[in-house]
Amino acid sequence: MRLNEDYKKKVIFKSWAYTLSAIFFMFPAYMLPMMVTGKMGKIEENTIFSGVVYFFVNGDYFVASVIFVASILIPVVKIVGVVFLLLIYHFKAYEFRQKGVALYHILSFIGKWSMLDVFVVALMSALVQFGFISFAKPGPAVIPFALVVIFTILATKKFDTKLFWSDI
Amino acid sequence: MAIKKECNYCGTIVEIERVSRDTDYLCPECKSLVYRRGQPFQHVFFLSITSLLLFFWMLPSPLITIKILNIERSVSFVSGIGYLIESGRYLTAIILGLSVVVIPYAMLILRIAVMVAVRLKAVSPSVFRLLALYRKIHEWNMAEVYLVGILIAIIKLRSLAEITVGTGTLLFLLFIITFYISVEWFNPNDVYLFCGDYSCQHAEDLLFYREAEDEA
Repeated sequence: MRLNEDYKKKVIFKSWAYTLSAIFFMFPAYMLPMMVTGKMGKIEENTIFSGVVYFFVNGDYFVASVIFVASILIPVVKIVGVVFLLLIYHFKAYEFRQKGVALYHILSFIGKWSMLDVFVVALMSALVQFGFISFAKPGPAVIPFALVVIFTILATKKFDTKLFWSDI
Repeated sequence: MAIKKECNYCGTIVEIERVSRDTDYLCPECKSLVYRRGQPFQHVFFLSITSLLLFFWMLPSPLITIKILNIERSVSFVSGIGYLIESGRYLTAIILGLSVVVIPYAMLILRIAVMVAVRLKAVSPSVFRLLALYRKIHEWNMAEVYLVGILIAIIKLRSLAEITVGTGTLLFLLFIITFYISVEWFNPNDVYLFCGDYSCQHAEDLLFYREAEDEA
């Protein structure tokens, strides 16, 4: 199957651009607080990592593992996965192309699940508004984290697995 | 009815001699799903209408109610997004509003519009534009992620306060079930295959799920 050279360049450029943008936004997303909470005047700021550790230490393994999988594991797997697909094309390692297509299906399926933490923070901050007694509000990491999710979805969407068959 | 369909993942042209409703047609080259016939449009239509009614019912209904020191506070889809806008978190409000409210709603409306056009045998290029839009926005729908988000918020908050699950959450659960069954049942490819020349010769088969007869 022959694909236009301009089209191939465009696909590869866009996929790399979105992947690198996602990697760039990962730093503020993981380093800044995701949620700011207050209880009786005592203010606490939690990053994604500290949130996972907090629930794990308190024995809430279910919440800890859901947040870990959705907010840490899936974004990392998506970025590594798209880079793997791009490398298959760059190094013409077409013996892996069937595995590449299977990986592409997995990446497309899991893509949106990383948005879970953003939705939880949005919901909790709208709900827990009791002034001095207790409050929750989104931290500065929410937008960079949402951008990581959006860019990883775009990186997968823009990649075209037909490239693996384009030189045949 | 024999059809030819290009695999979206490797470009191989797959020829399907006779479309059977119970078979998943896989690409021989990359093993991806090439074609699976959808369910009758009549069923998808009524399920979509049910989803739409649930959608309007759940929007203002309370999802969760929290009680701390005898003070109660509830949140619904509308008030949740409203709070984000009021507190100046416009980007978060846009992301939430688009992926959980606007896109599922648009998907339902587009699907119903396409099915009405097929029913009236009024398929035109604009119907195919609606289908193209449906395919584009499909991947950005995150309603089910929000449902899991509600579950996580309930688990997180239950140790801090008294939590009551509102009718909105139950309606949302019903909405998700009907919505996803209708998404699974509706195959946009069917419209291209059955009405691709705009004559919609096989519209009846699409609507009532009969096997199409070969022209020959």
